[in-house]
Amino acid sequence: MPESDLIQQLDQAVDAMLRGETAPRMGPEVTALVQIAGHVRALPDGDFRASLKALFMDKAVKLSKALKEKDQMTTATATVNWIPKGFHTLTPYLHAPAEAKIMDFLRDAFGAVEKFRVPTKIGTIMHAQAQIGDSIVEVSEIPDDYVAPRATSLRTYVQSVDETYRRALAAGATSLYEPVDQSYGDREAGIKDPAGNVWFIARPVRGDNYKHPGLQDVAPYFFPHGAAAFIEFLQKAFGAETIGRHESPEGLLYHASLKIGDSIIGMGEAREQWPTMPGGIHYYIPNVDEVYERALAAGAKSLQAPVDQPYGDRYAGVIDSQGNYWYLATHIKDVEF
Amino acid sequence: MAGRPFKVRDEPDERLLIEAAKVDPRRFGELYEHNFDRLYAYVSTRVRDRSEVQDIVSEVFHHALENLARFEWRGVPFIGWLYRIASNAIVDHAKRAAREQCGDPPEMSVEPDTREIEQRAEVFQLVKDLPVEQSKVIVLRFVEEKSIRDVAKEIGRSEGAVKQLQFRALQNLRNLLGEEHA
Repeated sequence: MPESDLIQQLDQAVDAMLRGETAPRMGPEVTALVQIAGHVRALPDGDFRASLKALFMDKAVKLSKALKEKDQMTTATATVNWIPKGFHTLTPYLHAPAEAKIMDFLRDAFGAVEKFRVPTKIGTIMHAQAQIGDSIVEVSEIPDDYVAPRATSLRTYVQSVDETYRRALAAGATSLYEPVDQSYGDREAGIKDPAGNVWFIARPVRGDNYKHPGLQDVAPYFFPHGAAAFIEFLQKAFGAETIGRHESPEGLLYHASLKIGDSIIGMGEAREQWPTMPGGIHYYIPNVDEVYERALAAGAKSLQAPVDQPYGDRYAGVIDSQGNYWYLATHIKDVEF
Repeated sequence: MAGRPFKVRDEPDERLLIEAAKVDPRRFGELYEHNFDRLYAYVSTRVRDRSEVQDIVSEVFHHALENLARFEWRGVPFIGWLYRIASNAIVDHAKRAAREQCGDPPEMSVEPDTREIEQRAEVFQLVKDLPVEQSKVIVLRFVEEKSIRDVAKEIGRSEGAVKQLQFRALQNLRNLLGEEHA
């Protein structure tokens, strides 16, 4: 068949197809082309293809942005620092009777600034934070029947021992000893606050710095019975590192300095003048579960197994052989109060 | 070459494309380009009306983009997932149309003719390889459904020349398809 006839037949078949009619019977060559024409008839419109893609890309950009924001939020949550801003590794936690008005004393004696307070229904302090220099002291006013350590012992470094000593007495403290230059190089005074806590107020006699390098302004000071065993516990449970030690010729520990995280604590063997005064210590670590287990393995008693708290910390508690309450915590999320 | 599998051109690593689009949905454009012809071919073998085909193809890609995170690679190609979404959409459209006309939904063939779909998708791609005048005639005649007279007027050729271009274009497509499968 001449090609011109094939061309004509094909066009008739295409016409019929486009009208939705059945194509007339054709020879094999035209039939094969009509089959291709059947596919071509469904050819997507180029404009449709392009505009649909544009629509998707617009939607994809929005989805991408949303995913990125979600990702950033997840990252922010995942990278929350395990220790809240402003805290050292160790923070003294005072349990005081409400009538001692300990927050007022901290303000008047040491210039403490109240950072935070959660009152109870009856208006006493469930929990408060007082900023003293570079340190935080936490306070809870507790009823008599509440089981917790009471008066404890602390050391604070100040610009002027004499001035602070006077202010403390004016604020209701009693004097344990007046400011004196000690043989170990500190000017130091001792007072007992209205809640019974013992404070060693100090600064180096020489030099411009009001405290020795590495010390925080307020830190616990311990008087353990059996200091050697207590140091061993701190080493095993908390990885404490002994950085200074002074003993009598008979081996009595006068003073030791131990580093736990970024905090340096002091201690001396308990004796008649300085009996054991267990206290509360808020201790931030990166992994509370691990430290809790280590503390128990080192001989501490459990106060509370690790649990996530609504205020954003994972918390556990242990009691050591001296009766100190260690409040172990890992900050897991920032919570607005 | 009946029964031979569709020869995919420049097949990218689809798995990598999917993973990339899951992380950054803007990469979905590549999946779209890679699968458009086959999805369109699939839908158009089952639905005749052009605007309905477009609606369904659009629905399928929207659904795929929104649910991409749920797609898990288990060795089944991405297009298989798109076919499944399309199949459901086609049934929904048919039911809706039947309800509007107060009739029973039409019987749908569950298993599409894979060879026909793939051949059609390949024809869609091959049209781009035709000489410019031939592909223009194909678009005007088949997509825009213009008469030979109107096409002739639009491209400034005689009606006889347009019929010949139409013939040559379909002949070329048949030959190219044969080459692809050879």
